[in-house]
Amino acid sequence: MLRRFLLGLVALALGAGATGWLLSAPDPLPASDLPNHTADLANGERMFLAGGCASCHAAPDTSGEARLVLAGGLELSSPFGTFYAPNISPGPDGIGGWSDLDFVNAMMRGIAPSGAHYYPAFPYTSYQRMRVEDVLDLKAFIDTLPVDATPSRSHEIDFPFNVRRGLGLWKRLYLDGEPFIPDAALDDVAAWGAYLVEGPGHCQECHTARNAIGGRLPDRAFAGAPDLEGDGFTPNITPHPDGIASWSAGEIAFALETGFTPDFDSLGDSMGSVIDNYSQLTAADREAVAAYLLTLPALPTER
Amino acid sequence: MMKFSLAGIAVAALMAGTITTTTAQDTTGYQVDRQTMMAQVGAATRILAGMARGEAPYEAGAATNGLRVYQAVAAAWPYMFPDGTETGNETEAAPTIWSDRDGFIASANKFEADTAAALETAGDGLEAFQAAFGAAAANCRSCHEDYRISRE
Repeated sequence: MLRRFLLGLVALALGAGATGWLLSAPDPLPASDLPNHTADLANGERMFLAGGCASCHAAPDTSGEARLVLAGGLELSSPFGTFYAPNISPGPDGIGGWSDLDFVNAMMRGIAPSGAHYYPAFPYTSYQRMRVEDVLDLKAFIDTLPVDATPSRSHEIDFPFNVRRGLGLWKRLYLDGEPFIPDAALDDVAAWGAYLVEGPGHCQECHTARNAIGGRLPDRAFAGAPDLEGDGFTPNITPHPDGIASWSAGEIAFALETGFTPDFDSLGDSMGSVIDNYSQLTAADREAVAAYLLTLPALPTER
Repeated sequence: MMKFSLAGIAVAALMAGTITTTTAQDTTGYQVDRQTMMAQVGAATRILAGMARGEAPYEAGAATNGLRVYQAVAAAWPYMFPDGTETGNETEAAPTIWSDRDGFIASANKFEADTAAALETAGDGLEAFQAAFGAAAANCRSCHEDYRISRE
């Protein structure tokens, strides 16, 4: 009797393990999903800026042209451990030799060419909303940037989060692979802003609060969140009095261009680097972001 | 009118620095004084940025007075963060101010030096002012990136 019970337990455990193994398997896009596309380098640069690639992948504390050398090294501390942004320059220590499909699967499925899951510190939960053509243009642009030989540093992650396979289960909850479709009620300007904000811009990754396993809380979208890196608080950017209700679209666009709020406070912390990127976009792109933010549901800040 | 208000801001900024540095035993006031000084920098920036962007007519006196506000605050800034003022009064001072003291002071000194350089040319017409203001104001973001955290 006891023996049968134990055998049953073992069978159950094996079954659970096998199920977990299957459920946590990477789910890459097939090559047939890639469109026939001629790269547009100018659009690739726009995606590079809107996506903030340099903010994490340029060497820390660099500015100007040096931000185009994607040597990596930025340290991101989090409740799960410390992540180090890898080298993504187009050489042997970065993403040199990657196929278009490798790059698209990294950006939109969070999967390395080896098949391993990336941690969502790399914000593929937002990048999955990008148009594949924009991702291909981004790769073409990165391929024109300087090669750097800085080796990527391994993340220092605590158990159980250091079991990468487990990320497959996490992705089942938080990575749906759906393309971005703007709300039909938005005008063309706000719809373009919505794409920039929800896709490449990945604004929610910092401005939306998360649950204990790092999943974003949809009903807290853009309403501010504890800073994962420290004891700060990323501000509420919904049009609520706790957020940016008193800001005009022009003031939001001005802040994205110059870093100055309507009170002429200067944005800083990790937003400073975002301004470095967004100041290089067109005024139309910044105005589109502003238009979309003002259409968001107004939510109070919850601490 | 603009000149008078800027002069007032400059005086207030200087006083804020003077008063707090002479009452070093009272640590609870530093955070508030820092916020007041930064608000004065913001008020000066509103006027300077308006001129730089062509939204207000350029006036050499307003340009230099605004930059003097920067200079006054920059000169006092390294002395505004003594030990014991890391928290309180909703301060947004980052822990790096204390853990990277040398870097922080270098950053404040750079702000002061860039402002002094800007003052040399800010009165020489709109184009000279725009370049001077841009170089001085770039310090806002670079310092806030490293030494200020957002608390909302």
